[in-house]
Amino acid sequence: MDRRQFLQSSAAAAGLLAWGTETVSAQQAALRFSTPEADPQQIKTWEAIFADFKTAKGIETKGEYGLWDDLVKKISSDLVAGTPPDIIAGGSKPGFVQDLAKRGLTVDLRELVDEIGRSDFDPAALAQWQYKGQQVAIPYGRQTCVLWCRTDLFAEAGISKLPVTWDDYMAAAEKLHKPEKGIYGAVFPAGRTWNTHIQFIGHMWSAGGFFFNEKLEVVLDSPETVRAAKYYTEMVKRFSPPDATTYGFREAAAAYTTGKAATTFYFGRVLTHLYQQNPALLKVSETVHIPRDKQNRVWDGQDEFVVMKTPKSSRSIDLVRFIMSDPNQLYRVFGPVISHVVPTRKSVVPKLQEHEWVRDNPKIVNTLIQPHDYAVSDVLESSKHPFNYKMDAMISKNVLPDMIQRIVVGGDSVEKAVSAAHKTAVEIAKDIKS
Amino acid sequence: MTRIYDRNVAEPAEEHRASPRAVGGVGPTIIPDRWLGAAMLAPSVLVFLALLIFPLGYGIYTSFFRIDTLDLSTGGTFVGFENYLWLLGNEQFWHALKTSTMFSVVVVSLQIVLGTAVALLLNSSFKGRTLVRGLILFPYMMPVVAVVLVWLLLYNAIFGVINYLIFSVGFIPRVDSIAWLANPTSAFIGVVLVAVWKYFPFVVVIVLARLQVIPQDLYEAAKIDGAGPISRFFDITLRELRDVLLVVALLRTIFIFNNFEIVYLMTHGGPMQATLTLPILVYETALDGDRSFGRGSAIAVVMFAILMCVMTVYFRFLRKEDQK
Amino acid sequence: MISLSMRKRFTSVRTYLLVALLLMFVGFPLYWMLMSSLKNSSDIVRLPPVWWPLPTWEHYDELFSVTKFGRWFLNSLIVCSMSTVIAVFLGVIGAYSLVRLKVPGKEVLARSVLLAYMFPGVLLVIPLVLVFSHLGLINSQFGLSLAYLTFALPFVMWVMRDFFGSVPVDLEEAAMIDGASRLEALRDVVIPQAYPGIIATSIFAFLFAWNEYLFSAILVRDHDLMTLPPAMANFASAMDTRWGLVMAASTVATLPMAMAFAFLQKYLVTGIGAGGVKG
Repeated sequence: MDRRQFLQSSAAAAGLLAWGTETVSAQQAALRFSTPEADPQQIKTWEAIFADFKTAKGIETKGEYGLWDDLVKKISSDLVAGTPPDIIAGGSKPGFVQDLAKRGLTVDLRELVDEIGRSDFDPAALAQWQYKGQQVAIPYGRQTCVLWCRTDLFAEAGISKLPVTWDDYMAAAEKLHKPEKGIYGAVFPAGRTWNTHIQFIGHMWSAGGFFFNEKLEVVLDSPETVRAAKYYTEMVKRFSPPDATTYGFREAAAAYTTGKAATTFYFGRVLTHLYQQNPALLKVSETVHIPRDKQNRVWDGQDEFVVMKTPKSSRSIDLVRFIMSDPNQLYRVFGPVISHVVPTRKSVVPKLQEHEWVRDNPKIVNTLIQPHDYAVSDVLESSKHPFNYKMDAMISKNVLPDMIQRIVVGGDSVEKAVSAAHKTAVEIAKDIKS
Repeated sequence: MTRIYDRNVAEPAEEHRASPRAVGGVGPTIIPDRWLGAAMLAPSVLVFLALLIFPLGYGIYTSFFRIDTLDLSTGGTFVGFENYLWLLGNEQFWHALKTSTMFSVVVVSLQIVLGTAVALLLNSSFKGRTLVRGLILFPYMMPVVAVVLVWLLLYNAIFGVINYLIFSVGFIPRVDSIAWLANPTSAFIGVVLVAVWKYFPFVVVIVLARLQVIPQDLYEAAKIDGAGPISRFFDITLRELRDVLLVVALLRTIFIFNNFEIVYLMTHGGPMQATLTLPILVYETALDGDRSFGRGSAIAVVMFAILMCVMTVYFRFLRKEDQK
Repeated sequence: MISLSMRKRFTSVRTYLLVALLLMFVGFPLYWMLMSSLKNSSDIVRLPPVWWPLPTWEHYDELFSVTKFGRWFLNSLIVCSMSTVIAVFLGVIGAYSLVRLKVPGKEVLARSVLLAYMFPGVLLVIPLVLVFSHLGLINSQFGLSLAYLTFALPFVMWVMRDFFGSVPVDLEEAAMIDGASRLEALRDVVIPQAYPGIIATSIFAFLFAWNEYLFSAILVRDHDLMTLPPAMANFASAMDTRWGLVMAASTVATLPMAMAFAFLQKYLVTGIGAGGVKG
């Protein structure tokens, strides 16, 4: 090959590359909006909102959609590259966002909250995203986990009232459980996933236990935890599907939508699933709050907007303001998952009634959308607790799911498994700095 | 090695066109082979340095630091061997090391056995052989996400087809009698099966290729000597395949040892951490809520060292073979 | 005589039985993928299973109307082609140089090509981001195809090195005595000899890239620039699995590779056989 030929082939190669390559230099001006809320329909919704925003303000926005599992990876590598996204939406990880704030990477949104109307927000929701007096994110939606119940199966089993307490629930599950007919009384998730953490910690709180005390020391090894673990694992072993020890979110929902489970813990998303996959169950479904022990406690999860400190911050705030302050835009965000994510702005909640699915299924959606004052979260186990920066590690290390699995799969005694989990948690917490 | 010098690549192009096969070595300048060789390798070396050696060095470097994954651009605290000491005292690490080793050994062995058996089968003549050879490569082409989801669908204890089939022939009393991924032993087997299913075609292709170059007269001669099919298999086929199988085994071991996706997507390391492999531990340590990049790197470096040992064995073996 | 023909028949029956068994093991999950993509959502998880659904095209419809599947498919094609072309070009000249030319330290290099496979990808990707951000290669298809060289280039060099080793030196020398330069000899004599190997390695190089998830998920940000695996992963998040959509997408994503393999199967076997065997 001589030089000319070499040059020719190089040019050809370069041409090929240029044809295939699309660099983003031209899009420098666009806002980068990163979110794990990336279901195809949700993406469509985001893109429609961005289009409206462009029409209204002339600012372009580019969506970056990825898996929730990849969020930390994505943000970390963006930071390594020195190019954080402008907005993060729906990460649902207050501990992580607080860590970003601690490094001065986020914009304080207090003023924006005041501008939109502080009194219109659920104060508990705002509190989850506060750090040293800053509002490090604005929560736009709340997710409540409820107990989905098949009223036809309840009637068949001769149960007239949906369960309120643990005792009610266990008695009901016993009557509902007919595995020979392919019906399971309950679905207590016990997979090595976040869902198991969420469901168990809610039960632990209900029994009066805590993972951490107010000094953020691990206090897992308590009679309350043991009591909750006994109840929880008994429900797994006796009344849940045989593969419940593999269940995360999607399996817990699928067990119900496929008609295999008489009850399940899940968020409002099941409503969408039922419409898509099994509309016959809509008429025979109702929701109630998760049965309680000593007190009502519900795990509270939220979707939020985080505005990162970038040269485009003021425009990012414009976008958040555009979505948050216009009830129509905010309502739109919830469309694909109606009743799953409920607006944190009280004045927008009634708007949900515009949706046919909400109007047609009051017995399903009321529990989901009515505000309740006993929601607690991973980062604020009670109103007296300080912000908990240690819980994220407990979640990622699957401390609680491993404990449940030890009891259900490994056959360990509850006391032994709880104290082992306590030990592991202490070990992990030792290395976490505030 | 030839001593002929190459013509200069920078020689004027016009002259070339005039006499494409002009006498070698008369260009204005002459580049010796050594420079040409270096020039031809340079881009690859550059790629290796930037995309492999640097990241590798970075990993080793950060393993001596206490550093949050969010702080990688700003720096952490140098802690010497602290991360390695932490590792040695960490029960989970030893457990994961054991699991990873078991997983690799079992998956690779099964891949080799199944792959060889299938290659032998596909080497015999039957109608539609070409088609079948093409078809068995499909699992290798399917995206991992899809592979995992299809198998989760098949394994499902309450609406899975596998259970339904076993139930219909009457081996189990109820459809849900087996919960494949819900107890440690069967979950381990389940994940192994999927990894074998997905990657065994690679072994088939390579073994099949090797089978085709075994001289037929070896078999003829053995036949004349009165060797039966079994002794022919052990004395000729297996002996001829030995080298390639060893090589494939080592390469596959490296690959499976580092595989994250299949196991994580199927079981998240559960139940009871029965499928918690080292790559999952790296992920949980360095990238999830924990974000101890230094510790994650330390685990990765240990994995790297283990594989280096495997490689060394491999090269030693190759050298011995070359000397024969 | 009779017993011999009976034995033959027995052997062939056994062969067909074993082939049938093999096809069931390999084919059943594939069949299930295809069928699930053609079922409505409730039939996918129905028991007793629906073996032959009345096909519904709703998932394929959603794939192409709601999602940007066509765009992602094209992106995947572009990135994988670029990466394959670069890897094969660099790999071939590099491997040739390793085999035929004197280069200091080439043994070290030959071994280090395997380092690529020895470090977990989850940790490789962050320093890679660091390099790429300095080169302005984040969020670019060219950048992603370069990242795939970490897998593809060592593989190509590894296989081609053995291939060139098996091409007799005499041919090249004859050509060079006739006045061809070394590069000409490479182009006109050596490469044609190595075509099967080049095709085989190209297919594998393409395939690595086609199924790669992690690098793509991290290095590409823009929704419009995504490749198939991370885009498809969004159909099956931790919260929710769109079975039908995933199965439809997988069916379409597997097809082009399946076709390539079917057409090039011959080269694949001979190609890898000659090269990969020695290691």
